Amino acid sequence: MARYYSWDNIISKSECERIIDDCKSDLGEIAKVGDGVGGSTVDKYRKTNIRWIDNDRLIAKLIYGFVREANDAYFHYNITNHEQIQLGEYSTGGNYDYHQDTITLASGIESLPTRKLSVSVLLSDRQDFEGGEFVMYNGGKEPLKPLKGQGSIVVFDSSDFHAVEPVTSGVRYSLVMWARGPLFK
Amino acid sequence: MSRYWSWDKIIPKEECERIIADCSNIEGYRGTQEKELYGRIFIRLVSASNLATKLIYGFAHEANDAMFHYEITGHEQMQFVQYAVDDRLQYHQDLVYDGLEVAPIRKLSVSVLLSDPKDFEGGEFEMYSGFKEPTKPLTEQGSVVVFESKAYHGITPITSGVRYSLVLWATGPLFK
Repeated sequence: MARYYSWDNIISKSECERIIDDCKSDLGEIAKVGDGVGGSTVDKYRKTNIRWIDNDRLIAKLIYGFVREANDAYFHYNITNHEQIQLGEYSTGGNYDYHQDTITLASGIESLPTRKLSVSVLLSDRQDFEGGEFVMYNGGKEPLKPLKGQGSIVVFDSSDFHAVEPVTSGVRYSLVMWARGPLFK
Repeated sequence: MSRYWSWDKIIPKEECERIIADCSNIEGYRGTQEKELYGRIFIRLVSASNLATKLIYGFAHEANDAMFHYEITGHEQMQFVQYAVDDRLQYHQDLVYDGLEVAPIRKLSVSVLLSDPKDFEGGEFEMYSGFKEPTKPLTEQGSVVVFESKAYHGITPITSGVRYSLVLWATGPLFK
């Protein structure tokens, strides 16, 4: 069982919509999945438009605050900073197959600082898209579905396998960020 | 990527067979998960004073020194595991993160293939790798693999013969 810390509908609908409007005018390229050593890409497993958001934006502070609160309450890891926050746009057909957020170098060692906690925020109203469920791998059992509705947040171990199921209609917006620190001891 | 450290055929055939003969004398019990839907194996607990336990604990630490660098302070009792026909273990974690763990927790898992692959069919050790093919680091007699206890792994059903393996968990304080 994967463990996570979550808030249901904690960010209001109007605030979610403001964040989407604020960010989506400048969506980037279709995201590529790296192989962990900075090489080839595998499109079939991920189809998402992404945009990197500056660290000085308030939204980055807000989401980092949620990560730190989850860490204080639950994970108790040594966290020292975070990566840039990323807005993801999953249009119809968009998906991201089961993966880990940790980056392992060819030597088998994690890149430094290592990703320890991942946060995912559902910005869209579920009425605006179908499919696109955020799922966490749970062995042979039903995957976990910790993101309940618009404005919900989940914080989880970056090494836990998770996916975004294909969006079958509409558009789904989400934010993701990774909190980092020294290697696990 | 599922992280692991492994050695191929590091334990000689004769030594594997000696361990199998030695451990087969221990009283055991059948282990099941979810009424055999997810797992079915036969377990014998090996004494901490058995030299095989020291050997496998040594492998765990060597892998930790080389790759994982975790704080390891002990180990659980080693298991000598027998897989007969239809026995299997679905993908599972050895360290189940369900909230508020208490130390010591399982940090590294060691698995040793004692049997000659000619002596059984099926029974492949697989590590879950998401959208990539599962990794199979344990295919030869006398091979040893050390991996993170939270990584999902499993043994496919045995279709013929018997497969013997050793498993040990190295433990320590909570991750930081």
